[in-house]
Amino acid sequence: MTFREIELAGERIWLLAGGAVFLPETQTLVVADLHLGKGTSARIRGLLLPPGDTISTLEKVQRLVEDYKPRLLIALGDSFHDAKAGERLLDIEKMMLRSIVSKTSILWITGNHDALPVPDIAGEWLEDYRFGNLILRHIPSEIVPTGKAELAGHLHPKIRMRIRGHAMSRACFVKGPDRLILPALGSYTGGLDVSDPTFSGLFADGSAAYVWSADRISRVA
Amino acid sequence: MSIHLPEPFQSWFSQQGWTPRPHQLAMLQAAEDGVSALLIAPTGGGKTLAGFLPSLIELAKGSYAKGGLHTIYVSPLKALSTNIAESLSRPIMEMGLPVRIEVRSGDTSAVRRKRQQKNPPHILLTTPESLALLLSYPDAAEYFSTLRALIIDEVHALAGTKRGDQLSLCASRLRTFAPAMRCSGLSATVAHPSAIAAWVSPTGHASGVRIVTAEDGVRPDVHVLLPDQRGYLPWAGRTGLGSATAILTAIAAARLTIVFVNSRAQAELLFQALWKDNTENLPIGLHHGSLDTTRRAKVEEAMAQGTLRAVVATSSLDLGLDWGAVDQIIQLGAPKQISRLTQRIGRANHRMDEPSRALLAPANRFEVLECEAAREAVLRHELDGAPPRAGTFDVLAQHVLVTACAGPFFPDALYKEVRRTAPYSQLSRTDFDDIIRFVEDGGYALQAYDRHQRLFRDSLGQLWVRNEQIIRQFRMNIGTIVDTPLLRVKSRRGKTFGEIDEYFASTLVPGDTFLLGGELLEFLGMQDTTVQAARGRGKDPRVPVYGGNQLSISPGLARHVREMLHEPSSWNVLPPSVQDWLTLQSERSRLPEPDQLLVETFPHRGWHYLVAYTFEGRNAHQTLGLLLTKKLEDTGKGPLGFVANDYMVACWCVHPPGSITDLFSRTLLEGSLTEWLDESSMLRRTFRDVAIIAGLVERNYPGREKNRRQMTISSDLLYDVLRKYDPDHILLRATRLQAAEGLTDLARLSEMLERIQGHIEHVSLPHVSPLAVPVLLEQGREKIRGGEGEDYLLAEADRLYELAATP
Repeated sequence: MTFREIELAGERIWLLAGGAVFLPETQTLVVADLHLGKGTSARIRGLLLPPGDTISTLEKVQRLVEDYKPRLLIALGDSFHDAKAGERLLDIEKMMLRSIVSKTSILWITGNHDALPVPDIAGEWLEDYRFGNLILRHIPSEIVPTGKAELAGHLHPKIRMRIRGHAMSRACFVKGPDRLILPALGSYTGGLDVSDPTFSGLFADGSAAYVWSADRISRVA
Repeated sequence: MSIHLPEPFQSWFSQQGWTPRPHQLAMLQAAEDGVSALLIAPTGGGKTLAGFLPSLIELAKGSYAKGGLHTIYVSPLKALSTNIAESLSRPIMEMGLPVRIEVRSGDTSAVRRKRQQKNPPHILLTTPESLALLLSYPDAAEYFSTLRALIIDEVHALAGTKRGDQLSLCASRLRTFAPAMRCSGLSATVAHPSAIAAWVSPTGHASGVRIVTAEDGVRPDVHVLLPDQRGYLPWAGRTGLGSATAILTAIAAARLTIVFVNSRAQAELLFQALWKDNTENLPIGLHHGSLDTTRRAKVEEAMAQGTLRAVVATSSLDLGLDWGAVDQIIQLGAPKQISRLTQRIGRANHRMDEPSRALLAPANRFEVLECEAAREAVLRHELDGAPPRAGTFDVLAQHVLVTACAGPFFPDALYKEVRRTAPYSQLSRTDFDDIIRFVEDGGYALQAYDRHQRLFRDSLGQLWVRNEQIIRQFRMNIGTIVDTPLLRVKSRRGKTFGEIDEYFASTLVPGDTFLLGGELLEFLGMQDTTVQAARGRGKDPRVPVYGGNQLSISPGLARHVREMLHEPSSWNVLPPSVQDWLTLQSERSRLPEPDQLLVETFPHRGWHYLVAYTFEGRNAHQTLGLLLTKKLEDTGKGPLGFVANDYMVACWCVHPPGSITDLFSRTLLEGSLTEWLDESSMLRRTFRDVAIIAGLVERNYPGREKNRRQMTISSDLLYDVLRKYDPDHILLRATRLQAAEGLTDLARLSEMLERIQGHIEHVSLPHVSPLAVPVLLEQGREKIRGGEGEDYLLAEADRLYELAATP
């Protein structure tokens, strides 16, 4: 259970190895961009991708739930790859979801891939969620109200870096004075490099990037 | 020989002042006897005509006057087809033969394709990809039913490759449609005649194939060309730009020279260097695979018209193109393989009875050894190269879908047809069935959601493609050449600087500088699929690497080089600077001895380096690099990467490597390498190609090519999921088999370890040794991802931020 505590708008936030966030005050676990059902989404076109991505993503969520025993799990949107992703879930995947639901309440924030609640999935659906000084939503907003801070997903941030000549690329958290962008947790999700202008637009006052290894969350930019 | 040229061929030959060569008549006899044949003849020996004569003679009899496809000619190069069409049109016209020839390739217009479909020519010149596409149409059985001959040119360049696998499967399909079809393979250099004979055979076995060997050409005239009179050679580097002036002088002394280089980047750099020096304005052109078709066509035309004095070329001109009277070739950089060098030397002088002239220009000191060794081997008529390997599963998966697109098929019948090809003659039924299942529904252990399969079975057991959309989509993705896509490099304002390889782009970090088109650019970042850059300043700019295979030295040639190095008495043929270099090595460190393993360790750029002089060839060194880094990781040394060339392997770690004798002990081979290998970037690269060819990942997606990056899921992610939930999936097996082809078997390394026990010479140095310089400059570094080394680096970066934040 490797984590690193940061602070936004006076709220304590733990960055977890694996790419999730835990809010210790309220015992809330936050994950972003699960893209469940992405592997099977191309089957209609005859593209037969390996189906294990959804299970693999759910396993990650399951492990986080077991480790941190949250009272509430919030998925920050694009939790399901498309409106029919729920229908395509395998029995084992449905079972895993049920087992997660039995351990914690779930709040699904809608995203651009799952703009409407996905049928037959347990849990509450909302467009965004506020508590304390935090605003949780899928797509980062242009301006965060003063005194508040935002947790968002959508961008799948990753960072390319060169440390002492050795180049590597990793998924990362991006933190500014009033917001935190979470990396995507889904197994078939690519990423957008933090050098992309999108990020400089969101973080005009500078940002920090955090990546994780087995026993440490490191700031690398 | 009892066979004669019939009229009007006899008279036409006489008019040219020619007499038919014995091998041309032997090919005629083979056709008369209805057997397949392999012709091995040096360049300039009338090889192409020998291949086509039987067809022309049959067609001259007029039995195909009403039309129908008689002969298919397949070559590895589109340009070769166009070239052959032109050279055949002369005899056809002059003898007034009732023969229509047409070319069909990816460039053929839609209108012409439609016409070819309706009214086939007598002789169709095409490529393996276009042939596969033709076989995917529903009328294939009828279209090919009149076929009598299949001619495969430059067969050695296809056998043992994925394109070759595809072609052999297509050939077997053609035989099903036209059982009387015979096959002729043409080649100039064949190291394994019976393996290649099996390759053109209707049964997949060499027996029954007639091997026709023409007499050898005249011994070529080969010399080593040094950059300057004093014999100075750079320590390292592969571009050989220092030889530009010497090359220019050599060009000026000949009518038409081809300068062969080993990579596209090298071609670009040399071309610029030659022009910078070219005060006489000698017309010099450039020819390589990344140039657009019109630019290449212009160069080809200029060569044919004799308006050029030299062409700088990559392997794009290796094969038997006949564009004018080349009278000299220059090989710049390591020759790598004796057979390939022989082939390239053959490009000079298309007449069999005059010697070909060749100059070998080494780019660095190690390459002098290699050039000398290769020169001697060519003169001894040595040939190298491994015999063709077994066919790969990804190509077969594609072929199954080609077959299904043409119409429903029975798996039993297809299995028999596939087994009649040499590459798949040993294919097991289990593997075949797994491939069918993969094409059908993905073949995953985790049986997902089966409402959308790709194929369905009818009550008779025939397999059909589910719908037209899948067929249309698949046809756009036929082919086994996987190009690394090129990305456009633009300034913020939108000015285009040029293109770089996607792989190279992926290694850049904002702030890095690189050279492109003679400009120094700074990498700013990626925007969608464009690389953003600005003119920059800085030290150590990187030179873009373009995809395309980095050929490895053949084990035979590596052995020759090693022998030279061990034998100071043989150094007198080497230029003084190279002799000095070797002497310097013996003073600063040691020279590798025949029965010892020399290992050097030294600090370099903040890391702890280890270099082992094993001389087992790049492939074996790749395996050794994997083994060493695994053991270094297991013992907590934090390895970050390794790089191998043909002579040595180097690893670097964040901590000192510890005892070298322990590292190279017999236990190096213990424990499972599979897991470590599966994690390696080598396997990931191999899987990417397998996934694309087998149809797991699409290359072309109608109307959405612009958004390719957003649409496709990176093959790395697929690979990780597949490994986790389906470790024995057919595509993973295919990946491991292919990677194993490249990596030398462990038996050879085990022998080496046995041999060196007690004979390890470890030298600890304050800095890099003279002999180690080349490997440190080598491209193709393999990084160790996600290991302790990277953890260490991340933690180090973190500590720096903490330090900066501390008041």
